[in-house]
Amino acid sequence: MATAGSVANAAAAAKFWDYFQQQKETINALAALSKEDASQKIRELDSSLREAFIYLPPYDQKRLSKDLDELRGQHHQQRAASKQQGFKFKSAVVKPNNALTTMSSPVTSEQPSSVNGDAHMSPSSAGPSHKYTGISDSWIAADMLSSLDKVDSPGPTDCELRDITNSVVDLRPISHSLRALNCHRIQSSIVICGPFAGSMTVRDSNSCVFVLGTRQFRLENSQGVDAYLHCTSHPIIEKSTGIRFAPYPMELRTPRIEQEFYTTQLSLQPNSFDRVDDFNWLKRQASPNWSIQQPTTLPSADVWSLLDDTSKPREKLVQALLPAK
Amino acid sequence: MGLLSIIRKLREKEKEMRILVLGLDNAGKTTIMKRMNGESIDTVSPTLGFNITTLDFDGYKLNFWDVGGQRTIRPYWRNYFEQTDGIIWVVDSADRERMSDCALELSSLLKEDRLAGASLLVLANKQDIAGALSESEIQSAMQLNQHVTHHWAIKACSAVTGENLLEGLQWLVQDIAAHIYMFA
Repeated sequence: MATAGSVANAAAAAKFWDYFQQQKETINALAALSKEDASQKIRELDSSLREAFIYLPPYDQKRLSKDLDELRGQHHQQRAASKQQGFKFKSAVVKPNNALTTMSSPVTSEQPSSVNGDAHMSPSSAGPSHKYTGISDSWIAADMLSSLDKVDSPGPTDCELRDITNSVVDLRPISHSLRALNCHRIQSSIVICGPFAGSMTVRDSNSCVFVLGTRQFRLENSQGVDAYLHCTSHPIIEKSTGIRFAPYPMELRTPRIEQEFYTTQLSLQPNSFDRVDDFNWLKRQASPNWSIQQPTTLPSADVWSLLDDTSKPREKLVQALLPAK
Repeated sequence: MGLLSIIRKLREKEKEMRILVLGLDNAGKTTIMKRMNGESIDTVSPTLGFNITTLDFDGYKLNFWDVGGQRTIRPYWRNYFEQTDGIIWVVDSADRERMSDCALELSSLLKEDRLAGASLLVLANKQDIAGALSESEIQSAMQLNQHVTHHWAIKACSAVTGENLLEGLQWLVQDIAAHIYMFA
């Protein structure tokens, strides 16, 4: 019976092979006349091929699937080419009643330019809730009142720091409402933040200190950064070197911060500050790009207390806390 | 008839869809997947590699491939393109600075031959944040109106609150079903 079955299969397979070749020619001929009919035929051929899988030998299955893929690819290219031509004719008609498209049409469609994007965004959106950019040699203490007109919105907010040099930024007063903190181009500066249930991203920064509690910590393209974290997931680094990790300092865990750790539920999860993933180091051996700070190199309580010193001793703090170059 | 071919036939009968979840890092891809799967989102680490999630939805079996979006591993996205029925493109609506980056990645993705025919769902995530861009702002930032090669839809959503995730998925599954299982 097995022999009879395999003979029948072989006959069916040969028959299907002929049918497939014949359909292929039809489709190629059709492609020049009607794209729709051709794609319909391709779909039909696809489903009959799938049905035939049950008796086709493996070689035929592979070969015919590949043929069909090629056929589909050719057809798709032709279609795309003809569509582009058709689009040109149509666009002249469509343009007037589509104001948005007309506005953006001077810019080539290939490269979404940021200028163009901003133009679209500016009318209705005010930007991040808290934003500090282009700051140097200063001591910034964030507070809810100074941050735009978002005071009345008790909901979650985000914060952006950009181009900050030689400064101290204290975000503790606003941190509990944050869902995102994005830092870009921070140089020789210290950023202090309480716990928040969201994500932190640092890009293109060097010789900085970040103190915060967060769900996610990402560091990209940075050098010489010290991070003091309570992080409920694996912190990651990418294209970065000389990065040191340490736990959120006990000295800064005042009753208020402790309360925020509780309300943001960060304290319910273990601190994974030391389980760092380096995206540029997939070997089993330890990555040379980051390390855990030894207890002996951690800043003393005196240094942390400078943060709450009313005289705001910026230079003293920067000198004591920043990683040596 | 071999056992293997019977099994294969049965699998064909089972309505499976393969959905690729992509987007820049920190967009919330994994968080969205965890939320849809009813898991905790408190300890989601940035994805190094990929996660597979399978959901039964509307009589279909959905296989989600959630691939990490960090810059270093974006070149590996193409390893996952084969046989994709649908793409979910996740956007961090609060990340204005990288909006043009995001649009660029999306447009190069859509030029990919192997993704031709896949339906595209854009999720404008993180709507829970006060400063997030709206659905229409994301739509124009991603220049979706100029993408004529794929069926697409956009939904403003939040992985934290779960808002609109189901609606988006519903559209995607129906759109895929309409062109894949038309002969079934």
